[in-house]
Amino acid sequence: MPLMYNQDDKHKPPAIQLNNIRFQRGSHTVLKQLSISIPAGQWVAIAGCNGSGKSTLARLINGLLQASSGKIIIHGQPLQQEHIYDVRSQIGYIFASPDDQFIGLTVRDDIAFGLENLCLPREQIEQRIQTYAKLLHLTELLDRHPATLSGGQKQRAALAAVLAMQPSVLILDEATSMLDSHFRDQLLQCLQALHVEQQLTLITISHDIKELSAADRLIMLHDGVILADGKPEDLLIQQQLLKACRLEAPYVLELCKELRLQGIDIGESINEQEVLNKLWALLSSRSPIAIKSAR
Amino acid sequence: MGITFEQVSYRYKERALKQHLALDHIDLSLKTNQFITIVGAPGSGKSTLLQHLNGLLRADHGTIHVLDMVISPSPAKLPKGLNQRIGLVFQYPEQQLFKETIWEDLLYGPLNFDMSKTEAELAAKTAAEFMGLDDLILAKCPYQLSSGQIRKAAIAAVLAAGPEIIVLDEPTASLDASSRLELMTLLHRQCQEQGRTVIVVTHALEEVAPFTDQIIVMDEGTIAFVGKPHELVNRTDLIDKAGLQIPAAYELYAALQKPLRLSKLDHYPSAAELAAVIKAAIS
Amino acid sequence: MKHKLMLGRYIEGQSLLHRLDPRSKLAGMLCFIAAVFLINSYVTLFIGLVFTLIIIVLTKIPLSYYIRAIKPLIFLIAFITLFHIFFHTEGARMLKVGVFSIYSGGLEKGLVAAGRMTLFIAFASVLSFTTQPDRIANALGSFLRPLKRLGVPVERLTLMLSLSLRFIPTIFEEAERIWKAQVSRGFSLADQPLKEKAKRTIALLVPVTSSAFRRAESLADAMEARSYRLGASRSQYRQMLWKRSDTLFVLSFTLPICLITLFN
Repeated sequence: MPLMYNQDDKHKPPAIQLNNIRFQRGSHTVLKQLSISIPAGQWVAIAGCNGSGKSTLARLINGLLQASSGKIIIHGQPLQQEHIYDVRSQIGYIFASPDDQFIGLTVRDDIAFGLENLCLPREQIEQRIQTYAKLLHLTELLDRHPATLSGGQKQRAALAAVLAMQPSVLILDEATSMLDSHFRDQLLQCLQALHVEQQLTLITISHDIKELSAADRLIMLHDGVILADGKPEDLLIQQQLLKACRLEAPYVLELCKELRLQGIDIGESINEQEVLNKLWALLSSRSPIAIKSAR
Repeated sequence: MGITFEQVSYRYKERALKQHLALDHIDLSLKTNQFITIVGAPGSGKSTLLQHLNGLLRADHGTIHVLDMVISPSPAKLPKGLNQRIGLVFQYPEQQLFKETIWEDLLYGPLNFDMSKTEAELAAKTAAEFMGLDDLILAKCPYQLSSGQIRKAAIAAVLAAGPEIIVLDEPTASLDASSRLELMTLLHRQCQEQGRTVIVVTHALEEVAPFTDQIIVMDEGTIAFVGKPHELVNRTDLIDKAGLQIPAAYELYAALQKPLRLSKLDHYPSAAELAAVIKAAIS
Repeated sequence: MKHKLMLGRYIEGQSLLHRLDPRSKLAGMLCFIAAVFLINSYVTLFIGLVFTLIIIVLTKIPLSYYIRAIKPLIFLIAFITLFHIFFHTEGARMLKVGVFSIYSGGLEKGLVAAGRMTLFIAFASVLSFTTQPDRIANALGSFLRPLKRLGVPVERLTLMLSLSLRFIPTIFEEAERIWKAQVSRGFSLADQPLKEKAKRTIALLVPVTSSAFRRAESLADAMEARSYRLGASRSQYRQMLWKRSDTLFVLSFTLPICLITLFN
């Protein structure tokens, strides 16, 4: 049975609502009768193995794909082909490949691209370029050609370009999968700041446990249906769920299991500090151990 | 026999604004039959180093000894068979597949290296079996496979030529967690069971720590560290500069070491081992 | 980070030529080509040379850069020169080299042809050194715009041009990587007959092409996701301002054209 997530803000209209969505590709049903409601400002992570329908789901939300049946409602308005371009300006989408979404000849031109599509006047475009380049530490890189930028820098540029369009919803489709762990952390920190400061509704698709656990809510897809829907810290400790999404149990979770086998029961957690605190509490009467904190 | 770099230097040939040394008088000595990991910040020279191993790039100065072969700077000729005995797998190797079926691509390397058809087919079959690619997959076209399968196929294509040393640049890039673990395990088995030397460039220290015998840290074209993973974790300066993260196993062990009076680490502690050690310390 | 070869070899600067609208430079180029076409003697070549040198000085870019631009084509220029020298038989016989004779007419034709090629390359270099590639693309797009009425898909062509400028370095890098990967698998074109070489090149062509298709699809998605719609109106961030200096620049070409015609 999929776990249901209790919405704290039931009175707020959902930013995104999917009602009985079905998506068919040829003879294969990629998404089967999916219904999800995402309140405004929530950070939802989506996990699932390749073929579970995660990317399809994301592309249905911004209209890159059309559902075979069912309704999609964005900010109270049903998603229809005629209004698709208006919707797209409200929903930012970041793809996995840093190169294949870098359209302009320079960072500056890339940020300008989306704004030109929105028919913004030149002065406003210039203003937004400066603001969002500053936000993502790209000011010195504004006039560089993408061939001279690293993957992480290009993804930051993509984020700047999409944020400059001032969407209310931001979808990140495995945006860090082609980056190394250093940039992954950088991007994650950036998202966390954005989520707090701008109350953006965030939808992140990822295979990375750290990224999944940063979200408010985790939806696990399997074979086109929702396998689980709840808090990341509750779902990511369940072995069968991890396996279904082709995620690997982090070391600290393995340790909890092994300790239980050894007769030491401290429950299950993916949080290292929490586990250490529990171990310490077990040993009792001494001050907590701390891990030298990472950046 | 082994891999030795003697005062190897290499400068980028492109019309760069600054001509700096990509490899700066490198001295390195490695044993074969090991699983070796190379880490370092982007631009530290890792990929350049790899390409010197099979002669794709030629050093400006210095000599490289690989197995029983000697690679001297050009215009000296490359030793015969270098390409075949050192298999190089680039990032996103699935991009190099071009034949209609996976099977044909597995045969490409062996046939290029003048193996007979029978030899090539046997080599391809062996490599495919090792990587867990059954006949159904072999008959498919690359576009029909999942990302994990196609990555394994591309690596099998290099293994099929029968290299004694296999060098891989970020072999797990972009794969999901289970595929990453699967691939690392397979590479480790190549080393343990087949006796191949496996050299991997990666930044995911976490996934390579349980398998690697040695770690090399590169920094701005020089070798900053050679040693075991548990020795590296104390070098926070290198870890930070290379943009790495200390694997959870070492972090947890370090946090528990003093309070539980645990002995110094001399290998990677698996979860089971650490649990047993904690149990022993508590009882 | 490796500094890759940049397309167009733009060289930063603040000279008069740098600050001109790319459209005037492109228009100037067309005028220049017309002028060069009219050159047919030592005198007219000299006029063209003086004019070109004046422009080169105005770019404030050292002459050595222009020489470096001409160098790769030196064989082509030499070939054209020799062709004219040996196959034109007007004028007085100057030299006899075995079976071949060099006539003064042929020599003049050869040197003039070489001179024209050199001037052409020099001016093309002026254009590429002082104008960023995307600005040339913008200028071309604006020139082609009136053709829209004739049904020419101007927006599509301009988009193709700017995306090519964006992606050529990237695809070049990828092609290089694929080449290296195939060489590591024993790919070799050495000591092969031409037919076999062509056959073997499939190992490079297929991966690069299929990757380009994949890229194109992803790119189309990315552009659509940023509200791009072919044919819809959009604003323009990069502005091209036609100033008085631009008009003067284009008009200045009338001088060499007139002089060359006079001395023709």
